[in-house]
This record gives sequence, structure tokens and C-alpha cells, in this order.
Amino acid sequence: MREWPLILFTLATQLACGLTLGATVFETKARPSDAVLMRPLAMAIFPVVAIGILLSMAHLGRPLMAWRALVNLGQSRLSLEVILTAVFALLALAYSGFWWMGRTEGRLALGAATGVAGIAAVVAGAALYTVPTQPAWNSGWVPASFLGTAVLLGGLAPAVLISWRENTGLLRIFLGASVAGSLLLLIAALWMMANLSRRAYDPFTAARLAGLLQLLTSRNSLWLGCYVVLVSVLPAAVAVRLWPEERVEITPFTGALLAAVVLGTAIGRAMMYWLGTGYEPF
Amino acid sequence: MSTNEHDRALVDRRLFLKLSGAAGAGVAAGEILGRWPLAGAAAGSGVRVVAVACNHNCGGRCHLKAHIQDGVITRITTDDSPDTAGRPQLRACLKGRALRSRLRNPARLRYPMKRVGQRGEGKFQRISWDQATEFIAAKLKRVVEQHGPSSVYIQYATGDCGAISGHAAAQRLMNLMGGYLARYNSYSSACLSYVAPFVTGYRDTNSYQTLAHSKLIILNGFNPAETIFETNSNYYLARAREAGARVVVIDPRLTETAATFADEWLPLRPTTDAALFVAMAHVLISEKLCNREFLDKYTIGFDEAHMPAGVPAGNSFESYVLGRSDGVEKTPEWAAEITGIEAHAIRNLARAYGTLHPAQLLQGLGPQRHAHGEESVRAGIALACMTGNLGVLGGGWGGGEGGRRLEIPIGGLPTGTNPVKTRIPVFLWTDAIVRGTEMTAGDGVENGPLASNIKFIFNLGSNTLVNQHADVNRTVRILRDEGLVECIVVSDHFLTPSARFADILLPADNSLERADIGVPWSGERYIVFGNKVVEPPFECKHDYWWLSRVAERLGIGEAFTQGKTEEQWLEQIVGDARQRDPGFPSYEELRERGFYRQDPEEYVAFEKEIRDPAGHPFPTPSGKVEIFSRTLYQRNRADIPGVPHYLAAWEGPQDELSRRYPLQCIGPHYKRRTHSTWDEDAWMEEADPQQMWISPRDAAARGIANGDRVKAFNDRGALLTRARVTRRIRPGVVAIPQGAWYTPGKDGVCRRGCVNVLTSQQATPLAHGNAQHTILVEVKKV
Amino acid sequence: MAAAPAQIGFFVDATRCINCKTCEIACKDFNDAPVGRRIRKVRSFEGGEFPAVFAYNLSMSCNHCEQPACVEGCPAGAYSKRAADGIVVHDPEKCIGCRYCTWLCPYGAPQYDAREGRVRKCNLCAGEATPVCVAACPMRAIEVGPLAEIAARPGSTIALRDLPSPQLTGPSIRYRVRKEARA
Repeated sequence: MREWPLILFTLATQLACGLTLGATVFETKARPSDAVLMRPLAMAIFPVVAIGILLSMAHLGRPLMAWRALVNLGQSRLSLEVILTAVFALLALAYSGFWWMGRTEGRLALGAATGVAGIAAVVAGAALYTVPTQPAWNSGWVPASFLGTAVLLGGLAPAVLISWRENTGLLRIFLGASVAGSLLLLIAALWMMANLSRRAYDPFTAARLAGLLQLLTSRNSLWLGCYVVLVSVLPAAVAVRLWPEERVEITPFTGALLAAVVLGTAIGRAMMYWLGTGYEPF
Repeated sequence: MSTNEHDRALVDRRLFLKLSGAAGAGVAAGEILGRWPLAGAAAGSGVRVVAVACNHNCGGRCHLKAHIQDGVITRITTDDSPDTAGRPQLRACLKGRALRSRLRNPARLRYPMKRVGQRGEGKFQRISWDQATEFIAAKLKRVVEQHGPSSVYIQYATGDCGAISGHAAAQRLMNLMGGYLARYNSYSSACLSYVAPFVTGYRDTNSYQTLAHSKLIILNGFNPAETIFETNSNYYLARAREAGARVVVIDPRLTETAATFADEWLPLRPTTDAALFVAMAHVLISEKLCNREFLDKYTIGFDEAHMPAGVPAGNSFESYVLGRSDGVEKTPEWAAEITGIEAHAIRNLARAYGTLHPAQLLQGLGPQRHAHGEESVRAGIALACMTGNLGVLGGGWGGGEGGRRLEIPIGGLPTGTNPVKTRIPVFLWTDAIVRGTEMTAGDGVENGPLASNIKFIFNLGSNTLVNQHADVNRTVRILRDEGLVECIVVSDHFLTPSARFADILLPADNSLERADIGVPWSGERYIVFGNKVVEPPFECKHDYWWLSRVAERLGIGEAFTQGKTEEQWLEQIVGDARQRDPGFPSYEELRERGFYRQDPEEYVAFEKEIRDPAGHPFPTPSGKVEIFSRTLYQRNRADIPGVPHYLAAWEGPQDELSRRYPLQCIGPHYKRRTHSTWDEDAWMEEADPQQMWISPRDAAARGIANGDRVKAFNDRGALLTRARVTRRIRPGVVAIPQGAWYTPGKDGVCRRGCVNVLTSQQATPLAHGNAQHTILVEVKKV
Repeated sequence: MAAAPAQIGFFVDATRCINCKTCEIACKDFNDAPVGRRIRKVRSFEGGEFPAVFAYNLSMSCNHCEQPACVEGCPAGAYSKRAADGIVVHDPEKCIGCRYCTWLCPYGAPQYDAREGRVRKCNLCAGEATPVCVAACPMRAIEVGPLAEIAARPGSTIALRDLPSPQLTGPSIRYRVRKEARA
């Protein structure tokens, strides 16, 4: 998939955003002595964003000129997204740093601010795609998908990467969040297909979208099916399995589950790029 | 109900890279071509604009200019003289504009090479020019001594159409050595050029400027939008339409010409054109739309009253059409069965032709490149006469290409006279290898018999040896036998399929690397001059240069060159032209200008014969247009009738073979190539990749989707190509553009789609011409 | 974006276009474009049912739109629309090769060159007296001139079945097409 840098970058930003929100929620609910459970994941937030940003530069033809991406800030959505992501990254640096250093004072507020910055970065990222000249993307399903990914991963990662002995209430919050994220992704997928079926477009666009829908449901139906199973069935199964538990240990299996779900989100993201770029406009 | 058809590049990238990367033995990668400064060019000297030519077998021969900066060609432009209605610019086509791309193709042959291994394996080792010329001289001498000069054959070659081409130089050499086996006809227009003189005495066509006067223009297998017949032919066709002409295209495909210009498309089955015309004749007769005065005054053989003496009754054209001689009336219903065109459409066209005056019928070279191609030509001329459309402004009959009498009189390298008078039809050279001495007049041999089979072949700037001749598999079997042909000398720019069969393979210079004159096909009133703008790379040399060395070794060097370089020959040619036409520029002026052009003229073919038949009779035995030809009648053959007939084609739609191979296959010319030239070019492949046209109905029946890889095959061979599923071709017919390079896998199946693995070497009965579009195939998805 | 007072545009007479691709190749030659980068493209379309089949061809490079999505969207400010004549110019020196413009343009005008890591686009042959495609077309089917005049010609249209809605970016191009090609 040609757009692999962007697939990984968007997933990274969304994962980091979700983890930030998760860590903040964790902090509000957990006993201070239990906060350490969240520490590894919270420390990972900045590296995830940073790696994502570096990977995104691999998508540029001339990465050394990446700084130029800020030049058209007044007009270009892409410039805005770059700056908002940079702000998120800086805040994430501090936030992950706070967790690393064990500094709790002001950490909750910082987490909230970083979370807001993360959401802003994710929404700005979605806004790149919701442009009139890309009718397959110009619909609420893209921001829904981006946010849904953040919520799903931000809920599932802590759920399966933390050893829960007490705080099962929190576990259930995370499991609930991952299911909510899944639901949002399912809604986004349906919304995406409904968008492809819209008649309101001009005949050229309607024909193009109908063609894409046809391909999606025939040649690419296997991918679509994989996506749906990985991002909804798997997290639901995890939630059902773990919900009644009083104790959960991390095992390689739980890590593999998370990896499978991440793979699912990557498949979905790849399909999104295919919808908008897999053909020549003229 | 239109849908978008994506014109995706259906390039098999691996294959393509392999083709363009194959560069023969001893080649280093990464060297850049087309960047060799001319000796003496100063660096940083600003931009020079110099006239160049592209001199391959195109009907155009357009005016091109190379922009040169620091010894490098930076761009190509075209004619930019004032573009007026009376004198439109000679604008180049996509191929001419891509000259730089062709020039810098790294697969260029670099050094003289000698075959190692089996002939046809394509394995060579580098040798020096001295070694090469020594080998050739020795071999040639021995072959001529042993078998006589008529054992030497100079292959039909149009890769270089300049005045000083390789094959002309070879002819000159051989004429100093006792001659060579001559040939007649061409692969382009065998039936047309052979048979037209039997009807009208000589072959000629109106100039395109006369189209503006036509009310009806019928284009029969004529596709100037894809096969450039003349630089501005399409422009004139557009203007004719704007002036109100109705255009009808008869073609199995909705060609670019049809799509852009046709008011009506008659999608007939290949090989059935004569049936269509004969049925149109029936309508003209039965609805009394014939111009009987014209027929009476200018033709013989139309009806019983106008037959020559001594011919039994019932042999006139009218008798044939009305079924008096064979009991079959050639009605539109009869033709509808055969041609696949509805009877009412045939009727309407005939009525239009009979009532819209004046009208022109232009027959392209596709319909005559078929089994019994002679008949569609004869029937076309007959129709033109029946409607009085010959020799009048806006009316006429023509074969599209060539034959117009408007040429600027200019010669080429003088080749001398061939002492060998024996001639074979050009299409039968492989027969002349295998059984030359046994060939007779029945095979089309003139002044025979052959004194020897062909033993030595010069294939200079030609891909006829393997790629363009029919039935590739049979040809390569013949060529592989070193007991048959003892020596094959090839010169070319690339390792073409023909070059693989060389014993000596020589790297030639191309049109930007030498000076030469270009003359368009159609006798349009201009010629172009191409300057040398870059040095030939590596050891590439002009054929004249190494042939001079061969001549020297044979002791005839002085006679061959007369002490002249190529440039000096060009000066002489120009000098001679000036003698005939005082308006012709000097050599220096011509080089500077890049072309010499006289104003286009409304030239009407056969105008004299129609205006003043007594003073200018048609040069036929009767002095008139011979719809009935006694000469042909006296051959006493069913397949060479006295009047035009529809004769069912072998391997045509009515052939038994169609049960096994139900699809007719034609090999149209392709706009991104000139025959097989340009197949190696990446820009051209991007513009229009090699692909097979197939109708949606035939594709669906075979589970083939657009872009699928498919195999087309018959008893003679098989090829792989990509399917373009399109409504623009009639069901029952597929089209595989000709000229793709034969690229066999280990199984002998051509991977690139060279249509000639499917074509047949069976020649037409009268002209002994190539019926290369008459093929039956089956296609399946792979 | 304010409309340029004398917006230049293309007029393409598709009823004359024979799909010869000369404009494509002439443009490639002028721009030194490698395979894979077609700054001007000719696409052919077909329709109808055999034997009543029709086909036509549309040649297009960049439409120098009145509301160009590329100018607005490019993060590096590599695009600008000239005030005097409305030509949308791409400055390859400023391009970082993010390819966002290739997503934004409804017509696929920007062409990414992987060798160079940046995009190229038709600049209407700035610096030439006549655009190369105009001078090259053997059918004289392409013209460049004031859009206002071109749009006023009888039969000229931009509402085509095979192009996205002109409302999106206001392309400065008009075609003469056969009736089947109209939207």
C-alpha cells in the first residue's frame, strides 16, 4: 500500500490521542498508588507521536523540506494539521515526561490539555479528507472513523496491556470505551458505504462512487470483512471475556489480540486511502 | 448511456522493461544517448534550432526542428510557418514529437556483432567494423560465385526511408556485382497497385484538398486518423465535414477516423467489402441510379452492350450483379448475410452514392490486404464509374495512399540498373528460399525461373525478416536452417526480432545522426530535409559507410562511391532536382529551411481522361476503364474473374475453419507505431499500450474482462496480449495492432502480441499479395 | 478568491479530436516528463450499443481554475494564481512532494514525479509565445484565450458527463463536444 507512511502516522496520532484520554481518565478514577499501572502506556504516548511524525515525513518527496509544510498556515488545512500535531507532540512530550518522572502535580490538567490537543490534531487530520473534490471522503464517516480509532485503541490498549488486580471498575471503563470505539467504527463503515450510494452527486461523481462501492463489495469484500471482524468482533469478544474478571494478567496472547486489532485499523485506513487515491481522476 | 472507460496503461511492465533493456552483448548500463555534442559545437553557445526529419515508413514526413543547447537536444518543435487555410502547417504527430525519447533509448545497438550459437538465439559477440566488412565481402563474393547474383535478396525495408537508405545502398552495391533478385509489390498495397492498372491503366488518387467539394465521402477501411497518410489529411477531412460533406465509414472497427468524422458507421465483416460494393451496384442498377452516359463514354464491360468482341454473353458486370450468370442475385439481402450489415443500410448507402454528387470513395489499404483483396479494389472502381465519380472535382475513387502525380520530382541514391530481370512478388521471399528455382509464373515470378534459391539476405533497417512477414513460426523455421540461407546481414538501431536472426548485426545511425532527405508517400508537394544534429553514439554507422568498405574489399569501391560521401550524394540529388525545377532551393538553403514546399493543389485524378477521352485515353487495352478486363478473363481462373466478383475468402467468415476458430482477427496499424518502429519506445507504450480489441459480447462469452491477459491462437501460432473490451468493434472480430515485436517465450508463444504469429503466407491469386488481415483465431482468458 | 480580470482559459474542440495523443507527447517533450507523468492527457470515452456506438476524446492538462483547490490546499505555498491572467503556477522549488494537491485536484492535473520527489503541472507554457499543445495539435483543436470569450462561444460547455461538476473549482476550460458527451 503506497500510503503506508500516512496509514501509520494517522494510526499513531489516534493511538496517542486515545492513550492520553485514557491516562487522564485513569488518573481521575484510580487511587494515586495505582497510577503506576498506567505509567508505561502513558510514557509511550510521546514516542508514539514522534515516531508517527517521523514516519509521515517518509511520505514526502523531499523530507528535508518538511518545514515548508507550515508556510501556508492561513489557508491550507494541511498546514493547520501539521501545527496542531506539533502542539500535541510538544504537550505529549511534557505529559509523558511527567509520567516518567513520576510528577503528579498538575499532571491531570496537563493530561486534559494534551487530550484536547490530541483531539484537535485528530479532527484536523480528518478535515484534510473532508474536501468537496474528494466525494468519497467528503462525509462525516472520516472524522467518525478517526475518532472511533482513537477511542477504540485508547480503550483497548490499557485494557489488555495492564495487569488488573483491583480497579476492575476502571477496566470496565476501558472495555466499554473500546466497544464504543468499535461501534463508532462500524457506524463509520456503514456511513461510508451510504455516502458511496448517494444520488445527490453529479452523474460523473455518482458513477465513480458507485463503481467504488461495487469494487468494495466484490473484489475487496474480503478486506472489508477482515476489517469489520478485527475492529468490532475481536474487541467485543475481549470485552465479553474480560468484563466479569476480577483479575487479568497480561499475556502474549492479549498482546497479540491488540496487535490484531491494530492490524484491523490499518486495513481500514488503507481502504480509506484506496477510496480516494486508487484511480486517476482524469 | 455512456460509461467511463479508463484508458489505463495496460503495460506489462516487466516485459516492457525487458524489451527496452535488452541491448545485445557487451553493453554497459547507464550511458546516456542523444547527448553527444556535434564535433565543433561550442559549449554554452545558446540555442540553435535545426531542421530534422523522422524518416521511417510514415505517410507524413513532417517538418521538425531540434533545439540544441550545449550540444544537447532540449526539445523538438514542428512547423511554425504561418498556418493558413491554403497552406496549413506540416505538424508532426506524436511519434515525431517523441524523437528525443527514441534517441535516448539505452537499448541502442552499439557495436558490430557476429552471431555465436544458433541463428535466431540472439547471441552475439562484438567484432570490429573491419572484421564485419571483411566477413560480409568474403561471404558475398563466395555466395555470388557459387549461386549467382540472383541468390542475393535485399529485404523489403522501410525503417529508413531517406534518400540514402541502407537498402538503396545495398541495391547499388549489388548492381555493381551482377545484380540481385528483384521484387515487386509492397506489403502495403500489393493488390491495389497490382490490379488498379488492369482497370484504369495506372493508379492515382485525388488530393485531399478536393474533399471540400464532395457531398459524400465514403471511407472504406481508410483510417487516416491512426495511419498517417499525409500530414494534413485529417485536417482536410474535418474541413470537408464542416463544408457539409456526409461521411460514411465502412470498417469492422469504430476507428478514430470513424469516431470523429463519420455520420454513419457500417461495421462490416472483414473480407466482405466486395460483397457490399456488388450489392450497392445492384441497388444502383435496380433503382436506375446509374450514370449510364458516363459508363458508356468511359468504360467497357459494365453491361452486355459494352463488352469487347468475342467474349461470350453473360460476362458483364451487370450480368454478374443481377445473377444472370450464376443464378445468384447480389441483392442487399444477399450481402447482408455475408457482410453483417443490414440490408436497409446497404440500400441507403447505395442510394446516397447514387444521388449525392460529387462523391468520393477512398479505399484504404486494409480491405485490399485480404484474401481476394483485388476484388474489393475493382468493385470500388466500378461503383465509382457507375455513379460518374471519377475524374471530377469532388468526385473520385482512390486508394488513400500514394499514387498521386503531384510529387516534387526528386530522386534518391542512384542504384543503377539490375542486370537480373527475375522478380518475385515481395510476399513470397520465404518461398524463394525454400523452393525458389521451382517457382513459376503461377507463383507470380516474372522473367523466371529463378537461377537460384535465396542464399544471402541484406536486411537493412527492416523488420520484415521476422516481425512483419506473415506466419512468423514458419519463417523462423526456414531462417534457422543454415543450409537454406547461408548469410543474413542486418543493420538496425535495436535488437529487433529480425535482428536476432542476423549472422552479422550492425548498429546503424538514426535520422538525427545523419543528414538526409525525406519524401512523403502521397506525392504531396513538399519534401523535408533532416540535418545531422548529434554524433552517432558508440560505433553506429550509416549503412552507406560500411557498404562502401565492403565495396572496396570487393574491388568496386570507386564505382560504388564515385568518390562521394553521403552528403555529396545529397548535394547531387538536390542539384538534379534543381535542374528539373528551378524553384527548388540550393542545398544550403534546403538544409537551413528544412523543407521545400509548393502550395497544395486541388488535384483531380484522371481529370484529363474524363475531360478529353479522345486526346487522353486511359492506358488500358481498350483505352477505357475496364470494368471487364479481357486480360484477366483470359487467365481462365475462377478466382481471377473478368469482372469484379465477391469471392469468399479462405479463412474468412464462411470458411469451415470458423467452426474451430470463430473469431476473425485483423491487424490494424497503430498510431503509436509506424509498423514495428517505435514499439521499443516507453513514451509510446504509455500513450497507447499494445492491446487487443474485443467486443463485449465475445469477451463475456469467454469470461474476459477489460484488462485481462488473453491468448489468441490458431493452428499457426499463439500470442498473449491484454484485452480491451470495447463496443467499438463488431462482434465476431478481434483486432490486434500490427507491429508489436515478436517476443516468444520458451513455449513459442509471443508475449508481446505480434499478430504475425497468427497470419498466413497464402498469397492472393492475382497480385500474389499479402492477405495478412485474413485470419481466423480463437481467444481465451489466461 | 477574486476572479482574475482577464482569466485565460482553454478551448478544446473535442468534435475534431482524433485521439492522436500528439498534444500529450509534445507536452511531455517540452516538460521533460518521464513515463508515469502525463502533464496533458487525452482520454477516450465510448457509449451506445452496437452498432449505434459513439466515441469521443477529451484532452486536458490543468484547468487553471477560478477557485483552485491546489492553491488553497498546498501547505508549502508552492501554488499561486497570477493576478493578471489567472494562470495557476506551480513552483517546483517550493514543492515538498506531499502530494496533497494530487488528492485535491478534481482533474488530476498535478503529476507527481517520484524521481524528483515533487509535483509538476501544466503552467500554460509560461515563457512560450504559444502553448506547446496549441501549436502541436494536428487538428488545431486546442486554443488558449480569454475565458470570457471562450465561454461565450456557441456550443462551448463545461458540463460534461465525464468530468466532475464545474461548481467545485470553476475550471477555466470549455469544450465543444457531441451531444452524448454532455451532462
